Amino acid sequence: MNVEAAAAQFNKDLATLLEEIGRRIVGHRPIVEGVATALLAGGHVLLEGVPGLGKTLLVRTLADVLDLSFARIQFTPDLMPSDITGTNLIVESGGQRKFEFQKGPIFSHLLLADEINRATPKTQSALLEAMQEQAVTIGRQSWELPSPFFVLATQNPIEMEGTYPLPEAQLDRFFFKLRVTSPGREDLHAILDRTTGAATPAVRSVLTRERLLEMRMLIRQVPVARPIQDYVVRLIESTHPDRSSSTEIKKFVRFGSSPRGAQAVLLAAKVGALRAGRFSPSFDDVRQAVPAALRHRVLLNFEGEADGVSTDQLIERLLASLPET
Amino acid sequence: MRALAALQGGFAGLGVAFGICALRLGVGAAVPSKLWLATLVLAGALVAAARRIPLARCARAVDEAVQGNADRTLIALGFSDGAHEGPFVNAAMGDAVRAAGRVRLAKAAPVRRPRGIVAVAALAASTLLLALVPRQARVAQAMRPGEVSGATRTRLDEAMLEPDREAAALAAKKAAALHDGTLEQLANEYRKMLTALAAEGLEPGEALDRLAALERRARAAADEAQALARGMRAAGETMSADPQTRAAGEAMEKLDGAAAREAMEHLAARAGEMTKGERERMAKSLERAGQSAAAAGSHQPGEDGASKQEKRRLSRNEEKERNQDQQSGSEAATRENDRQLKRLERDLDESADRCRDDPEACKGALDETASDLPDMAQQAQRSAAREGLGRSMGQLRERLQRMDHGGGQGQRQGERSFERAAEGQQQGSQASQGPGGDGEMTPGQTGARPQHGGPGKTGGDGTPTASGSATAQSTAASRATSGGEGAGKDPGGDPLGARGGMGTRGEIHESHVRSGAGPIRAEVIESGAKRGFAHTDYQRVFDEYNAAVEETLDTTAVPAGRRYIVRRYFQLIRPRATP
Repeated sequence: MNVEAAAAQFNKDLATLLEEIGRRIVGHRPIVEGVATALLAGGHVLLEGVPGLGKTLLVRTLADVLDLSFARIQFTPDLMPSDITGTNLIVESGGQRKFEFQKGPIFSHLLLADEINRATPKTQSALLEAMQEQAVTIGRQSWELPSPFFVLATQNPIEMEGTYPLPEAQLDRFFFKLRVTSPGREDLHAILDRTTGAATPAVRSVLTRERLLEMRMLIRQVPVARPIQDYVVRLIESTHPDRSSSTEIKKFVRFGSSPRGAQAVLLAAKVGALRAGRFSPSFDDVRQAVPAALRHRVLLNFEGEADGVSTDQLIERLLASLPET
Repeated sequence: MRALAALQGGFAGLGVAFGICALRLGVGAAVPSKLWLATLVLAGALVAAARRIPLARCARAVDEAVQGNADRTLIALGFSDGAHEGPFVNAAMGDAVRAAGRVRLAKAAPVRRPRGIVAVAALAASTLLLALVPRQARVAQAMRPGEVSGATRTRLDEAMLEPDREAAALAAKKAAALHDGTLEQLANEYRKMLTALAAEGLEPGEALDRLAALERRARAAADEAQALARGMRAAGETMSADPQTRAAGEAMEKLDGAAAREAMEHLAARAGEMTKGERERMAKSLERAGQSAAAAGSHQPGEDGASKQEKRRLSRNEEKERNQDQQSGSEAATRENDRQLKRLERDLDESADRCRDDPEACKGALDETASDLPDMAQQAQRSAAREGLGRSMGQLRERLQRMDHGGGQGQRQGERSFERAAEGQQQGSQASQGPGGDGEMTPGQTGARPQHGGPGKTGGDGTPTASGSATAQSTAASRATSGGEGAGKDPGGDPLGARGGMGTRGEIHESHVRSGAGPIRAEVIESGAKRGFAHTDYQRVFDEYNAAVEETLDTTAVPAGRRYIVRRYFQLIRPRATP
């Protein structure tokens, strides 16, 4: 199959996926697209929003339409790392007792880590390490996680009592941070219609695991022209207060984005280009990807926090001021 | 795009042509020929058209011309460097070529208004204006003679020089009184220079040089007898501490030779009547005075204070010149003054020794000391007068330097406004002067010479903090100096103490008064009015403060601007001769 056909198929499959998810999830189109982008780029997503906005339903729907295994972990302060990764248990086999590894819920394709900031840092680290390494190591033995492995973590921004906010280094491991907002009036009507009636909207599996991996491979093949890559590099540099020419960044930012941020921006831009039927990302694709990829990687300083400056505002102004070439 | 660049270049050439025309018209030269100007425009157009247009700019122009092109051309251009290969790159380039086929040239390179049109229009207008205004009028306006040379001279207003004139006049007066030829000569030269500054002005360098030379001479002349003056003052201060020698000490402190001689002769006359204990006490006082004179004479504050500052102010060459002047002109005078100082020490030491032995020898030694004092005082006064004149010269020099460093008219205006403000303040304070004083009063003092308290000499309506009862127990204490604790409660009596006999020699009593409210203000004023308020000569107060200020300015790193303001303030509040 030539690339034109592959790109067209990619576009069609992605559209089908989004359409199928849309049958159950009302509104939240940017969130659904963001989740799909991260899934295709091979990253994990941190969803931030108050409870009851459909975050869990979104992941469950994703699992249904992709025909992938799904697990959900409700993070609590007493959750232990072994509750996530699994542990060695003594089992009897053939009259002999031996230790056998019992896999935890992390051994699934799609994992919903609900309210991740309620667990202790030790437990959070266990999950985040597994996310990065795509493997779990117990004792001297390692077990590979299934592929694709996709974590969708949620956190509640308003209840800070008894929570353990994720450290900056661990936030960096999420490909995207998406903010789930309350639905509009029309969306709320649609939600009520769909969820309070006798029939619950059903979804079908539209993508196989193998097809998903193929799509991931295709994204990696998309080339990036030097001017576009240069723009991304300059953009990431500009988020650093010691290298930026923006007075706002100098004033309000403590740390800028890591190179992982640049990778996320570029991969997401590639997905955007393929979705638009092009073979290489443009400046617009980059700009579309930047807020979700950088908002958790640009860290405000005390002055920024005290002045109520939001990272999204800073990024928006940075994008407006940075010349393309 | 090249055509557009050529248009822009031609426009730039037109701007340059207008600029040259304006410039030449401005200096009165002939305008270049039309052919020459046309060549400029053409050259601009050709150069701009020949310049390389970056491909990225062309790609951006194509992308902007096609709706929804999403940087396809620029991306394809990026891939054309050969660093990327593969089916996706080929597909991207093919896609860009297809998209470029939809480009309309008129949209990709639209005819735009050339940049800098406003600047070129302004240049054209200037050229036109210059061409219309007659050249002779412009030249006449620019070449008005005499103004430039007159403006560069340093010239000061009469009013600004008033304090300096007063200082010169005072120095001349003192020179006549002290028979000081050097001081008289310096004062005359200073006066002449002030007249020149006020009348026709002086060249800045010349004014500063002349003033610096005069200042050097005045200070060098002052240095001749400075040790003697310090020694006399120190000896007088030490003697003032003892009641027996106080009168002579105070006169010496003021460098008043006649008074010091009189007081010393009085002391000599009383030597025969003194008890041995009194003579011993007097001898000790004289001995200490001799030591103080020796110490003060040998210690030169100028070395660690004023002189260092002065050395910093004056350049190294000036300092060298000054040393040469000192060596050549005043070595003999310095030696003479040192000899006088040694004589003072010796006189005081001998007087102390003799007074311990017997009254007659004491009388003789004191008489001898008394006879030497007027000459010494006169020498010391000469030093003080020369120093004062030198200080005035230094202040004027600083003012001139400030004018040289960006002062000028603004400086003079600033000085005037400062002067006005200071005068206004003075008037205001005079107007607000109320009756009564601001001094604190010591309670319970009933002697004839109250040592403390009493209402202040000037100022607003101060409130006495406490006062004693008129019925204080220290009725005989004519020299009682200690105050009571707290304030009296009863209203009666004279808060400042009743008039007492001068000759009484009572013992020191501790006064105990009851706490409570003191006398009302009217009572205090009335009491003061009966006896007269405490009064200190303004000239003396001013001299003390001015000396302290000078010392502080010399030893502290005060910024030059502030230094000037402080000195100017003191000039403005200086005592003036009563009409």
